Amino acid sequence: MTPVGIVAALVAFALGFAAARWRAQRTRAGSTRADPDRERSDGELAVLRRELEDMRGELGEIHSSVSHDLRSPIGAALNFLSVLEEDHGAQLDADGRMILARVRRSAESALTLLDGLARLARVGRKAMEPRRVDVDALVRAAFAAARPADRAVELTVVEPLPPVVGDPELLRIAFTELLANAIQFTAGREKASITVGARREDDTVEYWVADDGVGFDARFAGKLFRVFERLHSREEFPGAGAGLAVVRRVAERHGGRARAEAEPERGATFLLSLPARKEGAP
Amino acid sequence: MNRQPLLLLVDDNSDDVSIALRAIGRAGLLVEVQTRRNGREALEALHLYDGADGEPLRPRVIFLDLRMPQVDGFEVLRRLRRAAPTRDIPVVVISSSQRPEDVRRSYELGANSYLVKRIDPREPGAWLAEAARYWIQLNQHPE
Repeated sequence: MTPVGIVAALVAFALGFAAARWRAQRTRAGSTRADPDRERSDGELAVLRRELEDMRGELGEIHSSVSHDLRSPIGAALNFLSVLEEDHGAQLDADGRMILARVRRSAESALTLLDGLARLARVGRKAMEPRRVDVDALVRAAFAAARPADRAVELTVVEPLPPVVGDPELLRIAFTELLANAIQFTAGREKASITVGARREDDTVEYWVADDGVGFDARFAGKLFRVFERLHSREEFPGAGAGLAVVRRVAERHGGRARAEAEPERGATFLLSLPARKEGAP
Repeated sequence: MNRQPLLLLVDDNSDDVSIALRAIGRAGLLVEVQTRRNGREALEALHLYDGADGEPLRPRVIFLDLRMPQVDGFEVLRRLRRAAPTRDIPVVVISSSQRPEDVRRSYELGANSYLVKRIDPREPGAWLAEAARYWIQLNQHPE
């Protein structure tokens, strides 16, 4: 799909999605008003549900095309920038080299955004394969993989974390994103500390990941989980701004939710709650 | 005089081809590289398509893109493996697709390796030159 085709497909999809939502709302409003129509409304709802499922699949396709097909031309631009610098750099003055560096930064940032989009597409498309997941081992392994080599970051796990029934791969991705997020936003600390714990309520397990990093203004907590939303500039903290959207997507696919609590300069806590299902239960 | 081993690069993306040729040249590999812009041109060069003339190419290895106009990489693989003279030629799929279904299908159709096109602006195309070195210099080929 060409970039123009991708944009056209996205617009078409958004219009179709809005129309289906509007029709679903009308149908729902109709069915509460007039019970005799209920049977028809159920049928209509089934059709709409199918339509929405089709569209979800289509969105997944578009999502994956955008992240995949745009990567190649941006990658080519970056490659040829390197060729230009290596083979013809001597002919450029300082100003010309500075412009090249700016072009490179822009292309690299576009690529970072696409990588974020690709991560989000992957967790949206993966088939759910729920089984019992040893979250304690998973968190420790994810931390070992994400731990920075150039500064001290300490992980404390408050009591062994309880297991949960979920998709192991999706949960690994979510905890990796949560830990990477905590590591990133403690970047200014000489010695940073990340604490992970969990609390069990009747039918949920809520895992939390707390850091002593820069924190954020709690009024913006909801924004954080939207893709590409950032509360800090890219110069301060690089990255696509997709990590927490990935966490939210994983939570939603499990029927759970993700939220955040924080105060500026006093660290942040990210919470992932998942239904405490029994293995084999739907 | 012995001819240098031949690498056949099949890719419709002229940017990728240009970077690949530059990287192979810079790696100092003793290899002749021929390029074809789609599956049909590749099959013609290998005499697996109607209307071919001249001597068929017998490359040491084929680097094959998947998504190409007219005849795609999957079809090339299928025909290569069906014909006795080309059945054993190693094929390295080079694609920007990371989809598990593309990887699986490539191996099912007889690919010997699957490489995802990488973006490494510090050394553009170095990954491909490295793979070329392996298949041309290190790998043992059926005679």
